[in-house]
Amino acid sequence: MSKFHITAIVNAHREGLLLKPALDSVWACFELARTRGLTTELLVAMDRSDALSVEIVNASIGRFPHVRVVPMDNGDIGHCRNQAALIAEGEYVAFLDGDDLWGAAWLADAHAMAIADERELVLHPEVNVYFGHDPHVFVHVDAESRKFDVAALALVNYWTSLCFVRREFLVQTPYPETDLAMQIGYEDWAWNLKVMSAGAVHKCVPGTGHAIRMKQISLVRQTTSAGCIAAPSDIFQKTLKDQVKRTNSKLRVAV
Amino acid sequence: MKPGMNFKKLLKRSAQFVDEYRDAGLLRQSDLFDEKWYSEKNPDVAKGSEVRHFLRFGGREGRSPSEKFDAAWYLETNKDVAYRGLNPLVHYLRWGKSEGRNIVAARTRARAPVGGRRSAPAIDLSRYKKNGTLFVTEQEIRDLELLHETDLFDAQWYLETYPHLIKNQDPYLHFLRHGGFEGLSASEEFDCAWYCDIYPDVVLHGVHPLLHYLQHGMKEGRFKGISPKIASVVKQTVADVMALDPEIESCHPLYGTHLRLRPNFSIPTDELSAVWTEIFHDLPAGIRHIVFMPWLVKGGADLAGVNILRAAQEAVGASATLLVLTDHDNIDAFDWLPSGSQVLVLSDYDSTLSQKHRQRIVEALIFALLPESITNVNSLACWTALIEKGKAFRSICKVYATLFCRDFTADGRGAGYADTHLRAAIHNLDKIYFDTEAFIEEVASRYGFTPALRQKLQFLPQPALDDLREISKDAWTGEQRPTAVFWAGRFCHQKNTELLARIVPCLPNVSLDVYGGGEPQREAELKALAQTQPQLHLMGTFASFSKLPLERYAAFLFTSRFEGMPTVLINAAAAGVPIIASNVGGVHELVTSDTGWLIDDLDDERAYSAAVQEILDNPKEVERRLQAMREKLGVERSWSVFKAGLPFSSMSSSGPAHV
Repeated sequence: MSKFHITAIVNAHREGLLLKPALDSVWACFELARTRGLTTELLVAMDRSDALSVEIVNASIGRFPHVRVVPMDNGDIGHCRNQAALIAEGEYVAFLDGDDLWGAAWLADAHAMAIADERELVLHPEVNVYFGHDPHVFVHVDAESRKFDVAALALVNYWTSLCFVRREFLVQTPYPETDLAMQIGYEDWAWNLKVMSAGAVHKCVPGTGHAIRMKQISLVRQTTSAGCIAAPSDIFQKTLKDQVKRTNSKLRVAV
Repeated sequence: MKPGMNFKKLLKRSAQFVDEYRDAGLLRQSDLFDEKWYSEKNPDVAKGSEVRHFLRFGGREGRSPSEKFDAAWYLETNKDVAYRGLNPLVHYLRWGKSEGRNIVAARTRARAPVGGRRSAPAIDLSRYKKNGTLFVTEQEIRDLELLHETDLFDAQWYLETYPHLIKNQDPYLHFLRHGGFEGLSASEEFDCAWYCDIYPDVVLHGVHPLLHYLQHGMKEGRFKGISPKIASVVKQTVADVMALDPEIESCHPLYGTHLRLRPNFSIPTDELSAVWTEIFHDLPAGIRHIVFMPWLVKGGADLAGVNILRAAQEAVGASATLLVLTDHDNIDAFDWLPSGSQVLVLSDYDSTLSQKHRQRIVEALIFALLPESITNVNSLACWTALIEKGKAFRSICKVYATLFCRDFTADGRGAGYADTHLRAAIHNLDKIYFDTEAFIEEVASRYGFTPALRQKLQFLPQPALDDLREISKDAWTGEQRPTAVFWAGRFCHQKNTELLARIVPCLPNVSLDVYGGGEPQREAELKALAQTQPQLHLMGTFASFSKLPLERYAAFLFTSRFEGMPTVLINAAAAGVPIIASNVGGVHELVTSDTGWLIDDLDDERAYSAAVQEILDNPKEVERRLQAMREKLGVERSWSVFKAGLPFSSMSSSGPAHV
């Protein structure tokens, strides 16, 4: 039996002052969740953080009744998420990077959607508002919408890593290893594929949004420049096994 | 003369008619214009006016005149033609052909512009007819086609959203004639009011906003806007957090009546994604080995690729292998493939794919199919992918490649994959197969490969063809031994055709039949030579070595300046033809003084003619060397030896390990 409905896991590294608005947005989410009768826990996973980040976090968490700050030494965001999930006490966990922000309804609406569906869901906000350098909007696709097609997941990642998911499922289906030297990166992309293969459904929570800060140097860009791919998944093979041959297929077969 | 038409205008109009009459004649004489096909593909064109329509409108609009000619491709590839507003087929027939410009067959183009154009459905024109007469203009039909093709107009959504405005009208026509100009939304994805507000020049010019976006805005990099539903979520999110972070508060594009934000969507709608999605839905399941080749033409490397595919098929079954032709659409040697071979030709999906996109598709194929192994046989897209993502591939599968002899530019510089890609890719490869040991030594020494890297280079002699072995059984069994010799190959610098001019005079009593074709200059020189040297006969090109009348000849003459291991020599050896060959590349690994006549002094016509003479004069020696060649082939170039050199025998036939 979980102690809380939701654990908010904030992955912090060296965000410094930017951690304050991130934690403020968590607080706003908690407040709204509380009005809907939800109990919440904050877990700040601080991986190789600097002194300023630690100081900002400590100064910002006083108002949270249930909070833990966990120093980590992984140097790998996937490991940090896995480690945090193991010690989280909520039935569901929701991830936030230390320099991003959640829209206020995110946790409450995601929870409502999750408990209304018996299936294993991985929930995402409907939109992501990228601000700062090159502002734009990234609109998530729901895996059950008519626009969804698994094919291009072999080219790009469809969903950000700031998802809402049942803790136990995450513990059973942890983020895969990355190894930039071996050109295996994109832990979030790989995990999105892995959970699909495990039978979970990626859904969007209507009306919800995240605000994502555009960074000049991001992990994604470092990963891209290393020529990485996501850790391979068998989801495409599974899809192809069930695929009915198109009548206008262009695959040639020698006679 | 019409009132108001002056003489100059009349003259100009007359000249246009003359041009059109002349061009129409040109089209009617060409099999690249197919009136029936054009009519079927373009139901909006009135019967009987296909030629006129194509000349006046269709050609410049990129409509193809037949399935043999892709007009849009021609215009895209030849920007000068498009820029000058010329009809693509008329240009090709008048000038392009003689200028060596390429054409490709018309096909349903998989490319989808941003915004998600589906493959074009023909629109049902009956809904735009009243009493059998069309009540829409030709231009409107083209615009309606666009609206039918794009995902940005959702007719169902439009009807449901504006029922009071549309009533019983056709939603496409309503949106085209009224809705777009009135600022209605085309779908959840395109808001005309937003587009017009952001881009007042569209309003100023009175252009339909969605058509403007599809025809111009997209190419110009304009935003297509955010749907009202998404915009409201964005605004709510911004409202939630703006007080928390000054960077959000000061980010101007997030505010105002209309958000000036570029929308991105999870499912990309670019050219590459559209092609890849179509390819993905054609992929067979359970692929365990992929062979990547640039194309499939009748060449030595292609034969090697087919042999590797066949060996993989024998190990895991044809249904578990996939041949991917990555760089070109030429598949002349398709009949070489074993029955049941599954072949993906990337150009079938979009012949205009960039090299970068072809590389991305190679990467996606490996990532999605998770084969146990792949072999690259001269595919540029695969070589580039191996350099950029090869380490990652090795976490998925075993990675093999082949290398044949070095390729050279016209001015003699090395430019083959051994020169351009091997050093960067070797760390990402498990094995590289060479068809000559000489080339292995050359490469290892040239690049200073360490013993560990040297271990990756493996000699894989190409097998002799079985159908040629059958010829061999019947050769030279009769009483009458042949006295003619033959040469077969491409007329080019590499093959040293000019040496023939010096060999022929040395053998006044020996017929020399020359098969092949090539550079026009050399062809002309050989024709001239044949006129002065009656024993030289130009026999024309040949379809395959096995189709040559081999029983007529006493020997095969091979004069190349540089080579790897030419397939033609393996074929000649398998067919039991005595071989006289220049000692270049890896030739000495097959033809020796024991198995044939190897000429060390490459350019010495006397050495070649002496060898011919010996073959004619000494049948016992010929038989001895042919026997030695047969034994050599049996030991080194049987199919079982070839298969044993490849790693597929270790692949279990029970099924892939991944699934």
